[in-house]
Amino acid sequence: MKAFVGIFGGGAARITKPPLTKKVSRLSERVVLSTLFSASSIAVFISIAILYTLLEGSYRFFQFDEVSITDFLFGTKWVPSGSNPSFGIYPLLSDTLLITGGTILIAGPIGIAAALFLSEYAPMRLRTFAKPVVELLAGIPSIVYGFFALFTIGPIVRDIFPEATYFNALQAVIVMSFMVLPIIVSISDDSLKSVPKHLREASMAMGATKWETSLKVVIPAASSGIAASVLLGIARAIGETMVVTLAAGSIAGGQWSFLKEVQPMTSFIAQTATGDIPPGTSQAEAAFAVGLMLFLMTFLVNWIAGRIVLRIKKGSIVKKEPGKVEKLFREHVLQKKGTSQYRSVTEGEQKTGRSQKIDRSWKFIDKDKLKGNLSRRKVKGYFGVSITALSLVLAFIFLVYLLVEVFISGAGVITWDFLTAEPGFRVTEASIMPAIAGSVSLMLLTLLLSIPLGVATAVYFNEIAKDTWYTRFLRRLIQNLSGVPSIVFGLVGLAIFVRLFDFGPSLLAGSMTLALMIMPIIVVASEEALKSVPQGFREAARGVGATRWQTVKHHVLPNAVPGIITGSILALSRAIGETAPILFIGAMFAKTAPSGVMDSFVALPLTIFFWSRHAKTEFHDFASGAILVLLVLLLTMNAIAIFIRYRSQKRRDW
Amino acid sequence: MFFTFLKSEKRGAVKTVAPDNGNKGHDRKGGYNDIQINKVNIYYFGKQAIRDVSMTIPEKRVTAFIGPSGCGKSTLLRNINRMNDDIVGCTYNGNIGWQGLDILQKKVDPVALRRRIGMVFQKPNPFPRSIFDNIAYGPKLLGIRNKKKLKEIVEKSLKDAALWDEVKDRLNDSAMGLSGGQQQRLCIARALAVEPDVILMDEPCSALDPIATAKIEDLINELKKEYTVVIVTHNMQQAARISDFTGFMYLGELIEFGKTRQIFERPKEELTERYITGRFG
Repeated sequence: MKAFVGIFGGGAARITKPPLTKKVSRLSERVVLSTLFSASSIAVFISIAILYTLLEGSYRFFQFDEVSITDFLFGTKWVPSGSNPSFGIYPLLSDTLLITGGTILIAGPIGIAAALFLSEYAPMRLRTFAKPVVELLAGIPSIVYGFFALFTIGPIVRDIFPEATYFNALQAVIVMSFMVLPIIVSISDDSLKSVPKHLREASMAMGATKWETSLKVVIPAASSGIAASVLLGIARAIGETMVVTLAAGSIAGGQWSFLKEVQPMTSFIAQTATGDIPPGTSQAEAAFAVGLMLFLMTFLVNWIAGRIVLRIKKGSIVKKEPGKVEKLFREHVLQKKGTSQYRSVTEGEQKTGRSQKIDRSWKFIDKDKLKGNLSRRKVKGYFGVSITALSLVLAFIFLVYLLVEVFISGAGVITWDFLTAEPGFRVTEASIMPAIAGSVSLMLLTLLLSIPLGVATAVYFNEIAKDTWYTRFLRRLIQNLSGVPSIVFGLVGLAIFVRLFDFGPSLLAGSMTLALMIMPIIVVASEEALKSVPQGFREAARGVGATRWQTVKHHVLPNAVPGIITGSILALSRAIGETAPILFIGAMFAKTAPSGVMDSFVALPLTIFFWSRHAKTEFHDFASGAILVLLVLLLTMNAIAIFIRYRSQKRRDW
Repeated sequence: MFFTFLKSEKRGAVKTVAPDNGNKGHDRKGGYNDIQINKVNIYYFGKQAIRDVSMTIPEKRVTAFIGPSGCGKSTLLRNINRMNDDIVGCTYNGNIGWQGLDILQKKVDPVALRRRIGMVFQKPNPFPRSIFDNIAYGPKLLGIRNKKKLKEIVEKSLKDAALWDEVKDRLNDSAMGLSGGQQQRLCIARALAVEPDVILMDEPCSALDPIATAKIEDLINELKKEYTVVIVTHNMQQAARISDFTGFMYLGELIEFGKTRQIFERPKEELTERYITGRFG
């Protein structure tokens, strides 16, 4: 390139043209493209890391004398400690099913009803307000739900059922129902919305009420999407860790009772991280085998749900438009045969003709009997719609109750010292300064590690990748990774970063673990942003002779930046609220802020977790103070994200 | 056309295959700067969209492709500067001879090619930047950093695209604030800024009102003095008004190619006549 510039520098306003056969794609172009390609392979690294962790850990577990694979799979007693331990996974499995089943039993109907109300009945203004509010439920960290279950829902449950134990499955189930609600609502709502209007009109034109149409036409038409939403909810419930660890107890009973203490698989893994179990024993290593089981279960459920979602997407595309070329081809073939579609139809009509007259003397419907029928049907409709509206209201009530409760109990403990002083060992000297500092530095480091890789991967997929088996494979991997339970990432962080890479329980190991976890989210969000850049910009740039990378660098990326930032902030806010992935890595207590990346750290969610389990009740109030700070932090980040999106949409002139 | 012939003699190295169109095509032998399309087939995911098309598009003339929608006009046009390379699932064979090369060959870099064969799209697609930046983008890609030179190029391109008088006082305003017709002329100016030899236009007026359309048509008339223009259009009157040569395409095949007057006044093919007289379907 430089050579031509030199010639041009002369003065003649004529651009010198390189020969057509000279490659314009320069070395730097190729370097950038291959860098992007390697970045996209990070998904392979994450997957290998997960598999390595779980398989290697399980292998070590099964090396112990007291452990055998048959006992693990088919044994019915889970007594991991003591002189005669027994590792039969059945109790953990049945407790997981109990919790998941209970959650879906509540969240499924409420979620579907609320989605139906949102998509079919809610006026536009209510809808634009209600959807983000429901999604806010998904933005609240699971540790907060756990705290709420234990200290607010718990007493109520024990009031109603006096035989309930202090830790019980019911309180966890109630709270988790609202936690998975947003997944069910938003995906069901999407699929209900995508039911074509003409189906509704066809039903209404035959005299069906709106409620009957919703129930008998719209819901069946959207059934596969609704099924997928429930499956994704199930996967989320199976993988949920903090609520069950805090509120459901630590005895794997397998008793199938909602009022007793239970221990699902995730809760057992978390227990090994909290210092209650000596490391290096069969009991500690059991976490990996249980993790493998958990991973396989969620993977299966997510995979099935993914297949359904994929089928819906593909189906809708085909239905919308047969595609220009396809249409052309069809016409062409028909033309060659000499029978246009139009002609064949008219010919068919001529052949059949109409021989029978319509006989109107037949009456199947007794008009007298119909009296009162319509009003009955209408009442049914009002009743139905009220129930769907109620479901949505229930979600609101829960959210408001949770926020108010946290605020009331949290605001009392917040003082300047609580936020900024160095913590002492006495109760009065509690402070979350190290936790705030830890969380913020964790977030910054995670940002540094995850965003470049995530954005590079998204750019590669959306702008450069050709549709090969390898890129398809990578895409599938990333989709599936976003469904892996966060506690599994905790195990990965422990096995890979703390032990294998020998970073120890450091800030670096914690951030890397979180970065792995939010990578898929960033990739998906960035791809959305890139897709929103009009194709015309790319064509125009390519048309004047920009290379692939030049097109991306000059036109696609600058216009996608606000979207990428918004998505990344939301992903980071997810990372900062997570407890399970750093449970193995974070420290229980720290006096000061971390001073370097290899330093140990505490984080807000970890502090909340340890304080909630503290024997002294004063610490429970401190925990709610910390929750308040965490929620304010998250809310601020979300507000910034929303502001950026709003501003960029307002300024955008395309 | 005489001069084209001379040029091809002078360069000598031209190795072109005379298009074999039977009585369909335009039977003049191609010169060095003519675009000689020879037996081009284009497929989308294995389905044939263009079937065995051959024609010679003469230098410094306006050539129009007409035909019903979906007949492959745009697909063929996009192959001339290899925009189809960017489309997933699109494959092609055959050759297009231009300046002594088969530009469909792998060794021809599409990026280099597009700097010589520019393109204007159906919908005006300015970048969401200033008018100046829009035009200067191409030259900057070529490594021109000199502010003064860039200014000259921008002015010249805008003047050539008959837009200068309308925008000279607001070169730093966003191009998105221009009207549709102005935006399209800006896109033409942007294509001119890299000094191409050929300009491909894919229905450049379909999104414009009649007045803006008339301005673009005038502009095309001016452009053909310096550039080879290939235009795809839905509008037969437009083809008749502005083009020197016309190719009528139907269902992926070139039915007839010839001088515009001949195509519109005495078409050789019945299909062409039916299309032009509107008795089609």
